[in-house]
Amino acid sequence: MKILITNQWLILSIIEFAVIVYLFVQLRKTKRINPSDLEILKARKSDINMDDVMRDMHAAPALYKALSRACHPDRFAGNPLEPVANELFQEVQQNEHNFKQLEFLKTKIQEQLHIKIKA
Amino acid sequence: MWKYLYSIQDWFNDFSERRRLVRNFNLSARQAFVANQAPTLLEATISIGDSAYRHAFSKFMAGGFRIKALSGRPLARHEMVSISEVVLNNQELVRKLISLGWDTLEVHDNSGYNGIKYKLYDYSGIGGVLGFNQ
Repeated sequence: MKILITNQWLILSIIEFAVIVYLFVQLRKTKRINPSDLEILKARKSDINMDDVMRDMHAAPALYKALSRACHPDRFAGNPLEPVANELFQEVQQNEHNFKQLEFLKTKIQEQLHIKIKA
Repeated sequence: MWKYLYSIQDWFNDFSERRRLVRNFNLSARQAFVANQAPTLLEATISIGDSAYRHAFSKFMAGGFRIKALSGRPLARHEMVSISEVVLNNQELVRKLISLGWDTLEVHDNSGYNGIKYKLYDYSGIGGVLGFNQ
């Protein structure tokens, strides 16, 4: 009789343990992310280089000024390069606070407009 | 019950992530200042923020991302605007700030009484996620 009772409790505890394991596995499988929150969560995981932000803040204005002067369409009035200068000037204006992009544009301007920029 | 445990875990994760972002910002600002690349030393802190700018992910009593410029003189409005424009034009950074619970960007100097503040949500370019502005 005593052995039977022990066995019953043993079986019950095994069932309980199995239920706990099942629930735990289900919990791990359950998606905690709503599809609508994905955009926000992606942004949360993105790595931002603060050195780039500082460069955008302090180095970009001088470079922007130099580039916007260098490729200003008025400098190329009546020149066959005027449409190219116009396009580059617009690109420079769009990337006023993006130092990396401005550096790329600097080489592009030097190649396409055949001018040297001191900045 | 698990939901509450996860929310506690998320709260601690967010907190450490926010601290990390502020620390990285301050470290980069300090390095730029020491290397003579920046004319003023910037310092980011967490402030209360503006309750009128709150959104769905705002942190309670900690929704303000404050940038203090240690300029030694009152900054002109255009100088403060140029500092804030760099942050606001960096959409990735704005989104990260929003996702970590910030709703207000504040820029001010260390000697003047004026500062400017922006509602971050307006510069995030997120459409249809928060929803209530449509």
